[in-house]
Amino acid sequence: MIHKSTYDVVVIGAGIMGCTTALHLAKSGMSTLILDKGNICREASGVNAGTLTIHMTRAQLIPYAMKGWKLWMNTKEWLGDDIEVTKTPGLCLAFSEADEKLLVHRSNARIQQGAPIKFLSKKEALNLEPNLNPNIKMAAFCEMDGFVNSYKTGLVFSKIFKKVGVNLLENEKIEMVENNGKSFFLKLKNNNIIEANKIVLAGGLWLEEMLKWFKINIRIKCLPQQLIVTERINPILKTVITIANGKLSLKQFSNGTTLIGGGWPGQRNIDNDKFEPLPENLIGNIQLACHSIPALKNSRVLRVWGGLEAETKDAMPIMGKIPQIDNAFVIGSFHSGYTSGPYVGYLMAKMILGQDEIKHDLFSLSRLL
Amino acid sequence: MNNKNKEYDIIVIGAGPSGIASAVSSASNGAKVLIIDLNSNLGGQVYKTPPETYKKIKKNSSKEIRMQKSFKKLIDENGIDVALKHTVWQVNHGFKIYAFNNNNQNVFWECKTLIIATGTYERIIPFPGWTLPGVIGLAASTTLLKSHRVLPGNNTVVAGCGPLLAVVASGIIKAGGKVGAIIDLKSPFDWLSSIRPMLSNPSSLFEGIGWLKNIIFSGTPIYFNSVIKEVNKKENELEISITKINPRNNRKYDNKIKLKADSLCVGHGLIPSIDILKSLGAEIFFESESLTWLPKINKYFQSSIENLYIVGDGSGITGAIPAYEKGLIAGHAASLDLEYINSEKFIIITNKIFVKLKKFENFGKSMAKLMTPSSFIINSITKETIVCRCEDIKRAEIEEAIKIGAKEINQLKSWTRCGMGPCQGRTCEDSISRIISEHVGDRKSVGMFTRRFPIQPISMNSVVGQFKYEDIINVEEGPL
Repeated sequence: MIHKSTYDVVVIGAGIMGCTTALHLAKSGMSTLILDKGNICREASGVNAGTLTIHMTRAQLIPYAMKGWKLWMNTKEWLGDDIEVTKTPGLCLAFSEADEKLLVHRSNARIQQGAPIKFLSKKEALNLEPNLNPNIKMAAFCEMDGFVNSYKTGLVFSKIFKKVGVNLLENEKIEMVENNGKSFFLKLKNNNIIEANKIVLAGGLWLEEMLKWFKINIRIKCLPQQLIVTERINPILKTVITIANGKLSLKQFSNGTTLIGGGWPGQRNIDNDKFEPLPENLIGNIQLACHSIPALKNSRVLRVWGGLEAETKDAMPIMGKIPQIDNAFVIGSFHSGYTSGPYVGYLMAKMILGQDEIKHDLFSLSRLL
Repeated sequence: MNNKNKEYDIIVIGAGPSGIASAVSSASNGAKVLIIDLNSNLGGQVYKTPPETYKKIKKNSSKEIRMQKSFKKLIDENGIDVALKHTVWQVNHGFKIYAFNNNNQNVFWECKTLIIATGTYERIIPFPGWTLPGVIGLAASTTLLKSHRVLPGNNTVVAGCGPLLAVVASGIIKAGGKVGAIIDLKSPFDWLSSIRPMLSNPSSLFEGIGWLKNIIFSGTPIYFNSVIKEVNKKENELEISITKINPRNNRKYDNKIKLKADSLCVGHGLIPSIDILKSLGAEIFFESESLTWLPKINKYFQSSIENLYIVGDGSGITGAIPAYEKGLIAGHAASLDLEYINSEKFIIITNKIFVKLKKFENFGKSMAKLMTPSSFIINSITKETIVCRCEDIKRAEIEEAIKIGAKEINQLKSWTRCGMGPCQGRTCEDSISRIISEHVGDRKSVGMFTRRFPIQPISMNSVVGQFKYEDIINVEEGPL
């Protein structure tokens, strides 16, 4: 028997972008379904470093990241739950003269976009974070920083979806999407059909495949980002540590584990779509972490994993309407998307609802065609 | 990285009987072979002996030492390179193998064919008190007995199921220790039904009779069809309460028996170690007889990935003796892939080995049956019992996450942190899967924890080695 169900809006892809969009749509009274080919927030949105750092955000995206950061600091209000958010300043370090130049240059670009970054002397930085390598030259400081236990993202969204009435369908792969000008018809693998008045594509790395349903071909590059976690150790870190060239993020969670990231690539195994670490890059990343906080050397690496991040050809996001197709929307490929996710998801919902804040595409898909 | 970067035709990970057999058979055909193991001796878990550094322990001639000597001879005669005391921490496609040597330096090898012979690890189904000091695994206690030559305690209770129960109880008695009681999940009937298959394998039959003799003559009480209800620690003593179970309807009868001991060795069989294979993306399946995940392999022990083999108990538990034959077959098959032998010769050699292997088949299966705990054992885990002991996650927390909507084991891991600790979930995976499957259906849909590298926790100090900041900073800048 073929089941058919109808919704005001269907969001495809249950990551941070799709989930926040669905949440706000449902709160505004739309009947909402969100579905995913896997489990909720189990790709990049559930396995990323959870860093809410401004020091590593692309300068142009700083305003979105800052608004996203504010929402993360206050999840109780809109997400109804405490997702173990830690608010702590971020320090970006320079260890050489070349580093100093780079740090000032890169921080200024962010300051111009509104980032509340200021520069600290070696002494000030060491006062704030005594376990820093004393060879540092200077640091950039940002009050607006912190981190989330990203692996709990799916849990909190699952809870609130039940409360506000978002229907969640996991492990459902869509075979085909048809459109008769009035409604969309989503054909599932089990032959069931879902009808939707509006549709949102929020499939992260898999947007490339999804856009093909509408005969749109764009290339989305995969960035397999490597992450490293240590065993629980004594408290050695209070702030979020990054370095001038942007290749390190380091923090310690309240349970004592420390997490090392920085965008060092692993590789994507095309056969099973899974992530495979690259030991050479693992070593470089760990060396940077141990150079910044020498006390880390006494701990052990527990696990290495990765998230598959998406990037467009100009490395800028996509957010807006799908050209030529009424009532179809697309969102994704945000650099530092986890930080800005709650805000851009909210904006997406506003746009779909036709409400005041935005009327035009923020990052139009047409530029990539 | 301290690159050794030596290339081999075949690398074997694990120097137990099966690993050695595959190294020997492939090297005898002319392949260039390396065998790696983290222990200091050849022979694996089954033929363990005290390490060289234990000068005070006099090495008597034992079965273990005899086996090690004969393995050493085979390895030397066939010109096989050996890397003992090397901990493999990552394997990449291709195949690239990364390990730490005895001095904690990073070494790296490449090979055309990889043979995994990493054996098994222990399954312990939790019960209240299982994390108390004095409670250890059955397999762990064989390490105490064989490698360290010490007893787990002055008065030890041995509990769980499978052949290891008899091995450990008899081992303790033989070493002059006291076994307070044996608590066996299975019935005498289960044991009797394993005698027939044993007849095909006289040496293990004699060994079994030896264990039984030791146990019976010592007058050790045996509680069949029984499980541990809870363990409490009172001063220096463990107080062990047991429950009897009617195997027909799984109903529990509290017989109010309380045993006192200073140590408890408990284990519920072994689980094939398929971590490396799984992280490489090879296909696996859930086998409902042994209730374990097994690699999908062909007749010659090749996995779903080309040039990747898995032998020994890792390919399905059959014990040490057939493990050797499995290894021989894989070694010859790998030699055929690399054209060190032709297919006629291959068929003639392997046919003979298959005949031998067939003889052990039923024996292996009956042992596996003895060590598989039935599903009712999950009731030993009360709401307040810690299931993931690395992260202190209780059954109640797991049930709560299932209620919210966790349907498979990796989602549960994200939501509760179960399986995120140093053991990477090897200890709790089986129990947690059983708990989830009670709510959502079959074990297959519950899945397995995703395996992450490093295979063992690795020291940061070893990873970083000596380095200069200028050298490591010379990478492409992050995006701005």
